[in-house]
Amino acid sequence: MSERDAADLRDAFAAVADDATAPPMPSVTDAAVAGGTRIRRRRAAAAAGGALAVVALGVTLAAGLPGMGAEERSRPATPPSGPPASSTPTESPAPSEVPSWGPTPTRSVDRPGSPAEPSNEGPRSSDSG
Amino acid sequence: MSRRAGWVREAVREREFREFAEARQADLRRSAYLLCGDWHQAQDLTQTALMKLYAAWGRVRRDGNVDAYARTILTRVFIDQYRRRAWREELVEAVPEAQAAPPATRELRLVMQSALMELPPRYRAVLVLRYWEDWSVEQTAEALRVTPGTVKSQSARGLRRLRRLLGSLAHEVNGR
Repeated sequence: MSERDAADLRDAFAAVADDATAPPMPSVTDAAVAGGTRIRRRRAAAAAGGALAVVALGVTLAAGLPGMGAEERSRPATPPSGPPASSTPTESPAPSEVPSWGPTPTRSVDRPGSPAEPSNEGPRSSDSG
Repeated sequence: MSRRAGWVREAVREREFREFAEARQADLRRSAYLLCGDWHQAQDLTQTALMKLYAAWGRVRRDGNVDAYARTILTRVFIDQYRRRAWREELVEAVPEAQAAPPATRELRLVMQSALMELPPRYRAVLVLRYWEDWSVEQTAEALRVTPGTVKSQSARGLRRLRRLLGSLAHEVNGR
């Protein structure tokens, strides 16, 4: 496009957008300021909400990690009633729920030489009985 | 103390924006009118563009060239609105506004306006930015978020179509 054509086009544009043809229009500055302030407030609120959501997500994820929950923290590292490392059976103490005056478990009767022995709730190895 | 500083900063920011908006809104409205062909819609476009400009005023002011930024927002708002409306509404034939103007100028205006409104909005935006705002291919490409190659091709196609439309419209007007 030549310079002349460009100038013609600009003149044509100027004729189209002639101010004389425009109806009287009020200023939009006040409305723009009000609208712009609203946009900024909304953006700030969205940013704050997003930051909160990220923090909440982080906390939730951290709590959900294995070994990070309250339950996991209160539990000891090795369970007391776990299987023994050796094949020799070990007697674990009687559970506190069983009162001393309660009925004698039948299993203790089977074992000779230990009539008053409390029952063992823990697992036994197969060669013990 | 910091609250007071924030309040003062806000007041300065608003005053600067108001000065700019009062000085430039007529020009912006004219550009908007070239894009949409309706003064009332042009007024709405100008208001939306200024609203977005005020929301980003601090950054825009720091970056400089506020005027170019305002025109970029205006063009993008126009294209976005047109795109959104395009699938919501059926296009109706635009009725040119009857305004008091000298006959020769009025005819030229009507012919040119009709031809311009026949163009697809993208082509219109390219032509307005390139030949009315006098922007470079690169500036226009950045404003419209397209490549310079697209601006060149749309500009050439738009001009070709505009010439053809103007030719046929002028022929109609002369034939009457």
